[in-house]
Amino acid sequence: MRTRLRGGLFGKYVGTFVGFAVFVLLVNGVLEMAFTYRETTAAVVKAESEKAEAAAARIAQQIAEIERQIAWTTRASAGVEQRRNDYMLLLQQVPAIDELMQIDGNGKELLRVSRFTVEAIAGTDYAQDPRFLQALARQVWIGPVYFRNEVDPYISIAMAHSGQYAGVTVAEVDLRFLRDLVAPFAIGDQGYAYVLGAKGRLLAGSDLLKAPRGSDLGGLPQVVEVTADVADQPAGDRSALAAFGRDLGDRSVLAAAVAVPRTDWLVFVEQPLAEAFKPFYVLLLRIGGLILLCIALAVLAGVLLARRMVVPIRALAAGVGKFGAGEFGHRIEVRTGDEIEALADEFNRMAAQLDQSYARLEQTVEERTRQLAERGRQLQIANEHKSQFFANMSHELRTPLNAVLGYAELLVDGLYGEMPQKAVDVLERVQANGRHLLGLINDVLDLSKIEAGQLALVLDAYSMRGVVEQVVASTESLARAKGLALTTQIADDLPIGHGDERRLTQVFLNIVGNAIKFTERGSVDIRVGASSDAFEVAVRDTGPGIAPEDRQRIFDEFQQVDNSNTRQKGGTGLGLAIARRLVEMHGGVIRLESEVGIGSAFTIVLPVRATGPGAPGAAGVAS
Amino acid sequence: MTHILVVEDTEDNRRILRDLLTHAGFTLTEAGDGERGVALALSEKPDLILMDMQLPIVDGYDAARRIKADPAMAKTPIVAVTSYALSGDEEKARAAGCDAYVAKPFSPRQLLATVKELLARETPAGPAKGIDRG
Ligand SMILES: Nc1ncnc2c1ncn2[C@@H]1O[C@H](COP(=O)(O)OP(=O)(O)OP(=O)(O)O)[C@@H](O)[C@H]1O
Ligand SMILES: [Mg+2]
Repeated sequence: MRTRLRGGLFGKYVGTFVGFAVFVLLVNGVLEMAFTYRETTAAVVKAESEKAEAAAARIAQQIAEIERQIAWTTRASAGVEQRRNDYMLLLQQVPAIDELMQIDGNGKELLRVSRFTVEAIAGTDYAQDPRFLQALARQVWIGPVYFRNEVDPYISIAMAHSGQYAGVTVAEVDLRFLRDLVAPFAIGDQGYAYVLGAKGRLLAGSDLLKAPRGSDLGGLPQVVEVTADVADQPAGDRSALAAFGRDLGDRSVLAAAVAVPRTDWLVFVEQPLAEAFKPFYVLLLRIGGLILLCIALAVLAGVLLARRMVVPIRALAAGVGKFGAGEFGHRIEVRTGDEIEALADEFNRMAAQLDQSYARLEQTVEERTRQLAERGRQLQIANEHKSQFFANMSHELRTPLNAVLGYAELLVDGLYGEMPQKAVDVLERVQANGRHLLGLINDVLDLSKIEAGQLALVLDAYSMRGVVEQVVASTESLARAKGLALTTQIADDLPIGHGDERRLTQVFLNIVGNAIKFTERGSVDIRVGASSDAFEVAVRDTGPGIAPEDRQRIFDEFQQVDNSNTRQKGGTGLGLAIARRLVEMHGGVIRLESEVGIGSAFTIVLPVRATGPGAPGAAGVAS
Repeated sequence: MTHILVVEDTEDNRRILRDLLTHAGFTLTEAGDGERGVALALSEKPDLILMDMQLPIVDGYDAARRIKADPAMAKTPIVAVTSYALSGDEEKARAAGCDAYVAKPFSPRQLLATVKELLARETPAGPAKGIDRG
């Protein structure tokens, strides 16, 4: 099972590559845009400033021209009539002048010529009028802008006369001509130019400005900024000032303004940013498009590159996965000619080697298995041979013994004629020795079979009471002969046992037999009880007892307590060894308690249902 | 006269059986191997067969099976005599069709008792099964 990776190599490669490319492109684009923005702004400001300066110069020039014309009427020699004619002529020649008035040296109105009204000399006193006073003081004075009918801007130009008719000529100049002066200086299709007087009142402007003369534009941000900057400008500096702002339609604009010499007027040349920055926006679009294109290219390149990188790595991963799944015959196909191919080759070599070792391993396993099977077969045969050997041994030993015992019995029974008593006694000795020999043969064969694993229990239901009673029946005469009391106490409610009855009888025969054999005086007592799942058969005697150091030993083969007493009793020392093995084969144990000089107690604890061999050497010892 | 077939390969044991059984008044036929035992059983049709299980040529189990396979002999008791070699001998003998089982070394006295008992059952009440050994 392969782990699902969070974000594969492929994604990482493409991401890194594209990220890097996009970063470079973006930095480049942003820088270029910043520069272009600054350049564009500077270019627009420059163009606007030039126009504004030109417009301001034109206005100044125009006013100077008007002044010059007025000055012509102020020749010293002219009388009143002459001057009236001059004024009339001036009105004809200079359409901007609406009215001309002469004030005498005392401030009294002498003459008034108007384009619109029939002159009526009121003889008004202008002695305190600024026009009169300023002209006297400065020779020429240009008054502040004032509006007629709220919308028509005017200025007064007052000029002092010298000579015989000293006084002042005052011309009222209609400033509507300014419109034609500034309008041509607008730039672009949407740009416009205009002139503001004091307090931001509009004197004239291009039609595109869409504001009536006299409007108060003092609130526009660019006007506010420029007005403040002009105030800060050192005297004599009339360079243009630039400012971003908003027009009356609330569009963003870039404006340049120049003060008109000898007035407090400002000429503004403005252009909406939408137009002014059009080239910049175009450039912006172009750069944006270029970046997008480059990103697309970078993605494509990244994908291609990543595929070149990732495809072999995936092939590697898949291949290694197959190796992991045991397909060592698989070969990873990577032809990149680089480290990855080298890696793949290494993997392939590894797989080949694994393949080989596996083959060898399998071969070895097969061989071993075969050897084991062969060994098993040989063991099997050996076992069969063993079984056969025991069968033969048993047969070969018993057949002659059968003849010996059989003939002896027939002789004793008088089949071959009456025997003298002496001969009968001898024949009985022959029979006793024959039976003893038979016992030995049986024990040796039993033990050999047990050791060879050839002794199989014949498991069946049995009655423990029956077994014990049979043992008592066959040993009773021995006990009686020795003057021993043989007593039994068998519980009433013993369960039906499950085991090898004949073998269990053999066990109890030996243990009860031992007790009788080794006890000289007193009694042998057999008690049989049962818990829910085990019989407990205790055989107590009042014999010599068994010393602690012998208690373990006597359960081993051919081991007898080494004293002359035992030697006299005969026996081979096989009985307990066989008994222990048989009890263990039933899943039980033999416990021994004994006190030297007082007696011994062998307790056989036996599962009601034989459970198979218990722990080896389970024959416990307790004193 | 009651006729008994003894199949036994050892001369001494044959002689013990012969002396025992003729003394007890039975007529005897003897065979030294299984092959001959089967042949005599089928031709002589004895009333009882004493059969050693360890026999040359054809062993006792096979011989017993073959004899019992003959319908005429199916009811004739066969007493298996074995050398008590391996546990399971008695089961094997019974499976082969034997009616009683005697382990060597046997006591002639007890064997005779077993034979008489089997024949006594046989005569009045027909086929007898599950005869105990002596
Ligand atoms: N009840 C007993 N009292 C005293 N000693 C005993 C008793 N039971 C066994 N022994 C000692 O343990 C030894 C081993 O007993 P075991 O039954 O194995 O052999 P055996 O009786 O001598 O010979 P076999 O049983 O093979 O004929 C005996 O020789 C004897 O010395
Ligand atoms: Mg003993």
